[in-house]
Amino acid sequence: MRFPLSAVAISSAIHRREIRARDVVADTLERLGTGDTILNCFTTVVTELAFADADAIDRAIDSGRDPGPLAGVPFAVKNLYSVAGFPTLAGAKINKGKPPAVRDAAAIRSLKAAGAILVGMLNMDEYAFGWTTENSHYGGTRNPRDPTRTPGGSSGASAAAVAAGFVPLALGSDTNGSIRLPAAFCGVFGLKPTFGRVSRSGTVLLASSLDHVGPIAGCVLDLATAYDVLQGWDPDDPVSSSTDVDPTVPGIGRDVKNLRVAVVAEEFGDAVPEAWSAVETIAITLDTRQRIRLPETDRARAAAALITASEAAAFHLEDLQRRPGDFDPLTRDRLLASALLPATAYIQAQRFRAWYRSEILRLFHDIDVLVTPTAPCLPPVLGPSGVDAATRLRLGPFTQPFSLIGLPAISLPVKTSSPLPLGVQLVAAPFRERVLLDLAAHLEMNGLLMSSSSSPPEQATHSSTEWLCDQGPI
Amino acid sequence: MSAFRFDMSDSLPEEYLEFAASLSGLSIDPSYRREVLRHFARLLALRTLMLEFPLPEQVEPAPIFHA
Repeated sequence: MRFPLSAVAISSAIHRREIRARDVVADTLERLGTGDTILNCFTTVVTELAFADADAIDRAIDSGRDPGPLAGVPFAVKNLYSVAGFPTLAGAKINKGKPPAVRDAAAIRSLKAAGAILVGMLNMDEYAFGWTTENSHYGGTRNPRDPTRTPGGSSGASAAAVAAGFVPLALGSDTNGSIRLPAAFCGVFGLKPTFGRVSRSGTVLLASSLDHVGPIAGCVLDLATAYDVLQGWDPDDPVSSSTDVDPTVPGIGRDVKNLRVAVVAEEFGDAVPEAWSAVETIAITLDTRQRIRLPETDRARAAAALITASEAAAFHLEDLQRRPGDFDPLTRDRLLASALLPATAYIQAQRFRAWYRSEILRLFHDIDVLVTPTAPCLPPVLGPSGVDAATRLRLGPFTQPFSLIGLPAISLPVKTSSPLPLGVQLVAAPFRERVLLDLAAHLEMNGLLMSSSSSPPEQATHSSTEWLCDQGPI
Repeated sequence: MSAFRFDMSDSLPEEYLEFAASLSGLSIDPSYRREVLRHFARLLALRTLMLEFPLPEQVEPAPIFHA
């Protein structure tokens, strides 16, 4: 049996009683059981839990109850999310021996409460301190669009699992670009919400003052549906925002005519020509000629790197003292160097961040959305010792400045003539995720994006939002 | 501003590295030292970008406390 590819299509077929959650889970586990051997996305598959949750969904449907907007939708999480009954790996060997978590992470609880079914945990760079999902303990993950290349990182397996069609939905985390970069490299959709908009409770942090969590999906409506379920205040996350939730699914994509869109000037950063032409494609479609220069971008990148380094080193100091040999060499040497930085570097970076934030927010008085490339290059090739060492640390120049100041940002897979995926990043003012998702839906409806459906149905109407995602043969 | 610049040929960072590591209870295995030094040099260059930028005095990274 071939099930629909998108989360909303699975959920609606389950609501219509056309398919059963147990069958969707069985199909999912079968596909990833055979397909994941080469890609190495999953570090744990929770077969029994998934079937138990599927049966609960099927029982709810049988008794006439609504399991929620993600009924029966299989999802997987980066392994820094706590799952009750399992140690939370965060990509580290050190965590393997820790006691199992007693409770699911808040974001997992939200998705499950909406009917989604957790099927497993996904690979990552150790402690999320990397861009390539290379991992000395658990092996590296490969890019499903071209397995000789990296999927990006650190949520590389989250993006790869969606791109490979194992799950329609995955959760990642983003400190400097770790949701957006792999989404771009794998040709899927990734949303980094506003800082504090989605609870990080129950996740292993990399750099507390920069960490965000968010969804990765194969089409806009799946991403928006997941985001709506995830957004909201949580007293268990000290940086959680009490700003009112703003559902994005109702009317998504309808109201984009008055949006003021600008493209970042090319001096923002060096990128391969394909990356800029993908941006140009979007600019032409949206008929925008406005180019915006951002101030002090290199310093913004430096500030983000220094804050990440200092906070991560402080967090891991005890293990660095006691068992440095148990770290992944790819993260260990950077964490050790970071632990020795004088505090003035960190404090000045935090002060710079406050200055930069006010400068960039001023620009958003005159625009609603800023368009940039997501990545500076196509997915790098995995050589005999992985991604080239110099490239490994230079993958985030376009994502880093915006996570530094907590702005919501989305990476969209743009259709181009390139055989490899290319991502375009849209950025908005704080708590304006709705604008990003509206514009993304508009671009998808116009056939510009590589969605889990290659093109929207001909009779796209605004009476329903279902045109946005693949309905799939059932 | 030149005081913030760091020259890889200078031996000071390696001495600093050893001393700062011991202050933090860290021992850097000789087999890691070259990579740690390389990353430290990179961080120092980023630090220079911060320290040489003339931020207005009133800019502060203010935590906000709610009742």
